[in-house]
Amino acid sequence: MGGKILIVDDELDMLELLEMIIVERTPHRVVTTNNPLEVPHLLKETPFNLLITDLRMPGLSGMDLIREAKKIDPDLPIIVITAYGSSQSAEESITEGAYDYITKPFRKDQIIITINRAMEWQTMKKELKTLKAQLKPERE
Amino acid sequence: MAERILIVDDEIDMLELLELIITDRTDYKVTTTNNPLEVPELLKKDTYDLVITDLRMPDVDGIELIEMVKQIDEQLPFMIITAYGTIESAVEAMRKGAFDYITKPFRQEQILLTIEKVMKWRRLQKENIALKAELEKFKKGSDG
Repeated sequence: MGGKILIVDDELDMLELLEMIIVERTPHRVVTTNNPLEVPHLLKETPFNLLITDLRMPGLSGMDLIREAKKIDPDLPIIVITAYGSSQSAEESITEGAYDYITKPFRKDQIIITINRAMEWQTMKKELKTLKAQLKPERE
Repeated sequence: MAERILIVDDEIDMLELLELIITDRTDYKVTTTNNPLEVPELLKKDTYDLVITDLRMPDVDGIELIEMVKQIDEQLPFMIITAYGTIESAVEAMRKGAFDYITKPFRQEQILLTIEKVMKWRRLQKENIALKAELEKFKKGSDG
């Protein structure tokens, strides 16, 4: 089933490319923005299933963006896009709470696999919460 | 109970390197083999949480190994190690059910992060299965 993905990158070409790949190959819906400062507002407005973000952006860095997004929705999986050679910052973003990272240049099937995994992860986490809630009265 | 990782590679050097990285930096128990044909037997003897395997090996290649193991334990996650330039076959392995892949040469941090990602997944998966079983038990209890 399709989910809703928010993509943040200051490069419009990258936004268009990612949106095209996702819309063409998955049932997911995509919202894009080139302004990271807009993200908190967008996340509060409607729930998303996944956030994909560049790390280096003017205005708000990817790392700050991860922190902001986690404050609004702690369960939101985040995929970071990073340039080849800067895997160190990608690793830092994982420590900061990102689910996964993708290195540019990337392959189409690689990004699709990563997206699907991240969405499955969110589904599993939601399932865990539901199961725990169902079990709570039984255990008492 | 310590979580266990099985590493399969025909190159002994690579087995040693991976084992060293993992045991140095994590609490996981590591078993290694350079003979993929031995894997089914090892999986029947002990419970593992992750298999790390090379793709190109004589006798049995990585993709055949995945298919073999899926018959024993369908949910056991696989991590593929592949040479840069043969990503095509890694993607093929992902389609066959591998969880993730890493290209050689890799950085230590990179391999540890990927392992952590799989292990987190595995834990969540196991927890969900256990909770479902527990819920099922309560349901049965209240029916009878």
